[in-house]
Amino acid sequence: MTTDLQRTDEVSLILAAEECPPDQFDAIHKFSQHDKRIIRKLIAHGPVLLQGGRGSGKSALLIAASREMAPHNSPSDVIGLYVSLRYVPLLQATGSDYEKLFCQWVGQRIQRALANTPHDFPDSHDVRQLKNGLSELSMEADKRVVLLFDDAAHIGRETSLGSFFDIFRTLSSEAISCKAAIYPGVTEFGTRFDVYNDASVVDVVRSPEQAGFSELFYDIMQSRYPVLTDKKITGFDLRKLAQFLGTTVLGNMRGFIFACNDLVEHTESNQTIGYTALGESLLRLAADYYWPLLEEVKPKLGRYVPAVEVAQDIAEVIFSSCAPTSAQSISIHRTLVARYAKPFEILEYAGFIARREASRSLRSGGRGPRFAVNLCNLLERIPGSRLTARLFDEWLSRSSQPVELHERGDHFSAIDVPQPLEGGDLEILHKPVETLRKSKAYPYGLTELKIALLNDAGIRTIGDLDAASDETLRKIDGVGNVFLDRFRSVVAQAIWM
Amino acid sequence: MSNLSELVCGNVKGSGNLARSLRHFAQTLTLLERHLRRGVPKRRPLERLVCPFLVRGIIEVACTSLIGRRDPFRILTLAEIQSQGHDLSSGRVAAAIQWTGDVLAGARVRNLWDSTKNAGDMTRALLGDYQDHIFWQPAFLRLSDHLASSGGTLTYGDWTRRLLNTDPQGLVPQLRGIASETYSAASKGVHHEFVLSMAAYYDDATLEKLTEDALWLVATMAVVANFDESIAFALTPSRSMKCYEELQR
Repeated sequence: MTTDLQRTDEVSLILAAEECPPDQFDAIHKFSQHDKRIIRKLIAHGPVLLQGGRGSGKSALLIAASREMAPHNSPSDVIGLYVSLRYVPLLQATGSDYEKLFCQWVGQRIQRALANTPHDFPDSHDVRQLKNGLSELSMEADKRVVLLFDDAAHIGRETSLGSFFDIFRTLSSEAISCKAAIYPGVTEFGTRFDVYNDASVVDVVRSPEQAGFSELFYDIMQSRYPVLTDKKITGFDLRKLAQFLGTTVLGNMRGFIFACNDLVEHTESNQTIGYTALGESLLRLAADYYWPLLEEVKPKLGRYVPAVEVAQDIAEVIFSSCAPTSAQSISIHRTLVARYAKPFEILEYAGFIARREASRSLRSGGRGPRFAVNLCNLLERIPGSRLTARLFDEWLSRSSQPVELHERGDHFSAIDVPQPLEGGDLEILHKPVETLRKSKAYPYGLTELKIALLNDAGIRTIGDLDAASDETLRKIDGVGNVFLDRFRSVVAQAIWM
Repeated sequence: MSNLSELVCGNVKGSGNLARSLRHFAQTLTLLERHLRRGVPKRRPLERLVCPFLVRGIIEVACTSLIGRRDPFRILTLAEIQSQGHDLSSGRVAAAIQWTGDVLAGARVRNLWDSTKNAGDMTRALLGDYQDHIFWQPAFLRLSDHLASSGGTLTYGDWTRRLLNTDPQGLVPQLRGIASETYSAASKGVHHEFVLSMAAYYDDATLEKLTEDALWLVATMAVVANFDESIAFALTPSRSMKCYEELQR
């Protein structure tokens, strides 16, 4: 049991695939048949955009694909290079500056990936040099090359996405396939890139309607939380618990890990988990994870900061409308969704809602998308906020009818359409390092001592910490490789996730 | 007849030229699909060569069938030409179905309903802008309504979920994109355009993607087409969805 608890503690802190030590990757990442098909599409020839919300598992899929190709799997006929674009200067650059920075960054990442192989890779300063280098690598190795770009799209950035997709298109050839992870709301592809002709869009979304949904979450629960067993549960079994939690968080991997962590943290060794404990856990997730997410996302939004408050108001409308009938989904007239496009995008990004149908006929006339809503925030708004056996079964069987919000209703009448700011900068870069204090939002966060040491070293903002070199940070008292990694991962979460 | 053949060629009845052609297409499609779906854990060199032919064949036969059901004039005139007793083996039939023109149109049409346009200027391509507007979008909405009326507790395959989450205006652009990419990728194998080893271009993952994309494309076009009120030999909505779901297993 002690071993199980230790193992649970170690792996529960791994919230992002990029942070996972390579030797533990296979042990804690589980993939459904649907996921495996996506991985094979990432290995196959042809450009692909991998679309999914925050924490949906895009990075895990990209990394898993790269691990099936050379150099990680040397007998493969394909070279797979995973390249994270988490590089702040790229967020701020446009046009030719973006191209130069991008090519230098990607070239260096490829050099690192090929370090223990017979292949050299030249320095690159423009797309032509980068493409030539990749083509020569392909000829020399007699293998196709797949580039897997992670974090290409940032929710607060739109200007440089056009430049990225230009490069994506230019690099693609018979021998080079580009794949990139994007968010569902990414719509700015630039003038040269046609999303339907220049790439296939593959959706990562997981929903209970999908075959294999409950098996996937059950597998993850078993592999990452051996402390959770049927003996720890009353009223239902472990398989149903996994399926219910997966449904609750709309199939979002990161949300599921948070939900499991919360259950484990709040269950004493002599206690069991029943409807009451599960309901309390859902309410804590709503209060400590989902609502704070909107605050966490806000400083990353650049010119779209005003959309966050509107998103919060819309979330209130959605959950209050679903609560009377405990409905798990809501159809909203398309005019409303188009009018408040960015707030809806933010709500999808943060896991409050997930689009399940693009165009459903409304009983009151017209059409609109149907969204599934996360059940933590829904339980908060249901009278009494208690999870009963009846509600548990109802949500698990998805038997509730969707509620509808029509254009002519007054639900949105008091909500102004947000206007983007003129030239809004990413506020997160100017926030003090104290923002990164260890908390629910930042489980990898910094201690008071480390914050004080950073301030003493003249590193006062998140932007300063991101720009500081490894050498500078290592000079700080008590900072070795472990803390260097901690600094890098918490900054990455603050800026990128 | 396989589920794919039934979905693509419809509930064929009668003995006219269109019915005869569709029965022939259904048989061909069944053979091609059976060969393509054979479980091959690791493809041998010959199978790498053959797979692109099968993929291209399935797309061509399915598109021709749907063109025939949607716009029988093209198939019926071809059937008449072939029945004239000419030796057609050595030359191209000028009226034959063309990928560009009959399946994909040329440039996008800016003003579809310009009253000064004559009929000859309106592309009748299966995935052209006119068919998108008058045929695909209404049929797609009927399909969505049929699924919505079936209740929310059902479990659907990945293709159906993907279809439900597609904007009506985005369906045809998506079909065009996959059709273009898959047909072009398969054609490169047919014409032997590659200069690196075959294994590098047609590795197992790429052939699997080509196969899945081709089957998704033709099955998705066909299931939506069966919800068009004016198409020949339409399956019932429930039969169409059953065939489509079976294909995803």
